[in-house]
Amino acid sequence: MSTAQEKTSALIAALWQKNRHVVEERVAVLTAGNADPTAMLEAAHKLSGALGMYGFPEASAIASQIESALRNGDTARIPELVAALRAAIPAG
Amino acid sequence: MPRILIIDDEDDIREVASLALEATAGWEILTASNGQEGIQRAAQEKPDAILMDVMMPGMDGPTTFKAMQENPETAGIPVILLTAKVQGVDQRRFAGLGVTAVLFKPFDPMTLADQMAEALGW
Repeated sequence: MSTAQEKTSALIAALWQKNRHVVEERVAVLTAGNADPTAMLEAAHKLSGALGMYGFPEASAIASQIESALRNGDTARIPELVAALRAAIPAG
Repeated sequence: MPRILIIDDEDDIREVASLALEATAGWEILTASNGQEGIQRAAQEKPDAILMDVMMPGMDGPTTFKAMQENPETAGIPVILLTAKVQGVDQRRFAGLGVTAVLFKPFDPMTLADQMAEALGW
């Protein structure tokens, strides 16, 4: 990895720590029992993009599955997928 | 030094993309958080290229692009759309707009500048 890439990687890790509360707020939207379907879809969509960008491809892929399930009306799968999403997001 | 205008409604996407393009390519970055602001900044600043999200509240990316194309001050600025959608119908729709390229989210911050440079022929 070049010096520029190392610097970029460190800066993105710092941004993750700064912005992780935004990700947690979006996950919370998905777990709210009475959440607005449009808000849930937007949260899943944004999570997919952000988590991949921060370097968490597995979590990003699960967020995409949640987005697809919401679009297809397959809401029965959401709690299981959200639990998997929480597990895939690095702690602290 | 190339100047890039990033138009995206998500603060963290703008932040990471800005950082990545500055740190890996040394490009100067301008930002806007919605299509209307993006049109104004593009006309004022005349960036060398624009990286713009497709899904934004209010004016979405394709609508913003069309408005820029209708303005002589911004019509010549290359635009790269950034989208999470990968379905064929979307790709065809975006290709038909006349944008320079379509890149997909989630993007890799380490290679974003290279992908853009390749698309722009830099």
